[in-house]
Amino acid sequence: MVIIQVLKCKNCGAPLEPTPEDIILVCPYCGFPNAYDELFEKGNVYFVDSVPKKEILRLFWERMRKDKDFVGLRGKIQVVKMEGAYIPLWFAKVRAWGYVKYEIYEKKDGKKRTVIKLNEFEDNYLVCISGRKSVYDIAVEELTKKLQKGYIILQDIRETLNPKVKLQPLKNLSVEVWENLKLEFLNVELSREEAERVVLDKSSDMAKSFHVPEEGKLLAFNFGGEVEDMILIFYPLWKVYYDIEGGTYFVAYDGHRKREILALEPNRIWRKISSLIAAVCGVAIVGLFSAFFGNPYFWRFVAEAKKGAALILAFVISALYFGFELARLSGRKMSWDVRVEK
Amino acid sequence: MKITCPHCGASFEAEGGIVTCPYCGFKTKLEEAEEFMFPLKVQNPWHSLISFVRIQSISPNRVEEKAQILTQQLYYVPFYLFFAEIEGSARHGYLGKSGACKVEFFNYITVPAVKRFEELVNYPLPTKGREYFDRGRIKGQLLEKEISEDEAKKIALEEIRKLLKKEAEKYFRWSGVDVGLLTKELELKTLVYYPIWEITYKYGFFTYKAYVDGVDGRIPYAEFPISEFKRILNLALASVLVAFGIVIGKAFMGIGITAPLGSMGTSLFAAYPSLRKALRIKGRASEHKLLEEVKDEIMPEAEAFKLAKNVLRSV
Repeated sequence: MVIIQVLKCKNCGAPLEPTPEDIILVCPYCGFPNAYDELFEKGNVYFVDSVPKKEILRLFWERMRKDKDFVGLRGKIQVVKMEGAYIPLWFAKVRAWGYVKYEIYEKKDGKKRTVIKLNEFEDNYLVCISGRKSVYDIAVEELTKKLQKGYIILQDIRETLNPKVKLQPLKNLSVEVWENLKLEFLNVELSREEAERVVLDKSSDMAKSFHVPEEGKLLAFNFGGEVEDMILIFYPLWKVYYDIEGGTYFVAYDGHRKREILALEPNRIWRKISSLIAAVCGVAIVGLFSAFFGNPYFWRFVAEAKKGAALILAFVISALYFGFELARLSGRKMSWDVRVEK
Repeated sequence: MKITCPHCGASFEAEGGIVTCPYCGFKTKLEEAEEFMFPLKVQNPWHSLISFVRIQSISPNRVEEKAQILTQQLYYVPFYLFFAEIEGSARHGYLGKSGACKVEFFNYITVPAVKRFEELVNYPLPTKGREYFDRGRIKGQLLEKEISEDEAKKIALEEIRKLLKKEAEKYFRWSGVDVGLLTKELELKTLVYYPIWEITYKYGFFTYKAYVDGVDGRIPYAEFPISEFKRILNLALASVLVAFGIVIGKAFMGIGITAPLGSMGTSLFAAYPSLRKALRIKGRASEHKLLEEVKDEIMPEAEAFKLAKNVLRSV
């Protein structure tokens, strides 16, 4: 609908122009987050405290002093910009179920045989997603991953989060408290219904990473899930942008827990050389083990080994594969211009 | 909802459709708004572009000193914004396909409604600050839709199929993946007109093209010159690797004549990413895709060991 709704900012009294982002209404003049949606009435929206800007800057310089990647370059680092904002994060408690079917080799009575296994699972997950439609922001994505780890999942999502994240209802956010925070609130762009779908997609990915076995041949995987509880939290994220040797990079911080989320850094030449050395090792392994295939004594040895022949060949093939993958992945790493440190 | 009469300014409650003001009788039509736009925020796209080109380790130092802007044009590009709920079934194998594993994509996906911006399929629009579309507020050249909603859906489905394939490769550790789409719910949420700067610039003998996001200054796509020194550095690293391949092959040839084949083939394979960077005429990068590539730090030795162990177990 074209909404011709008259709303005034609680803080400065300026007229607010409602946008399609309809959960909170951030005043375009002063930035105060005004309540706009029934979610507020239900007490489902929270915020957490943030450390001040100078503390983030202190953490940044402390990191730069300790990071070995910046040896010899510390004097050249220049902070060019600092950004902080409250980003909306949806937290959900999800009940997930499904099954995984796979084929595995087992030894019984000295013989190897193929066994098909079916593992059913039923889990509870705490899932965190960004409340913004922008599909990709590496810092937000990493923050959501870090925030959903390390909890004992209880029935109430607030109690689950309580030991690590100190929630305060947003409906209680007074103008005075907000003025102390001095951080922009970014609006929510995913409605609750849309967020539930995205949460289920992420839950399915979590189920895959937990239950798909590392060994054996995967035959089938199925997933079902239900969102049992969901809240919205405005969470402080800081980014410090810095210039070094003609390039601009950043370090992102969790402003509530005072922790580094990730750092974007130049891929220094010594890292490239260490990747080169690893790649050369891989090439050497492939060179050595591929030589066996052209050696008649090796084939005679395999033929004489009889029962052990398969094992010898398996070992050589695995070594070849290891060497090839080591060289390939190290070569890929060697070509990177920037690296992400988490 | 509460509305304000555009004639007398009185406030009153109303629903959709034609609304009559109870105070002055003025009639207002409340319509469904389906098109939105973003106001331009980045006035100096050249600055954003140069910052991005500078972080490319193969670009020349102080690129801005020798680069010369040829054209700088602001376009308002129409994007279809879909919410997709797609479930697929992934199978794998090169000779015959096997397995039946469920993969999902529940999220937003964007498709440009014009043909020349195909690099921007699934470009993550920062929809904060979206406004109702108002032709009068467009500052650059407004591009009209060239692609119908149905064509855009096909493009979106193809993109989602690729994403699901990547998901299956990542979580199921498969190769040769094929994804069949089981459910295809693709709901058009809106059409968004988005400001994108197109810049062409000259550096040396070549002309380069780049796009700059007019809202937040990100670089969805950029071509850039490659520094001779950095080209040589990449070429040197790749050459050292290939040279080692030859030396190792020769050293182990006494054991078996297949050694050079294995070592040289592997070294060429490993050197390929650096060689490609060194030998191409223009560098090409995309800010969101670049970060996507490096976001998962890889530990080559651990990854390789895990893969080799699986091979050993399966024999």
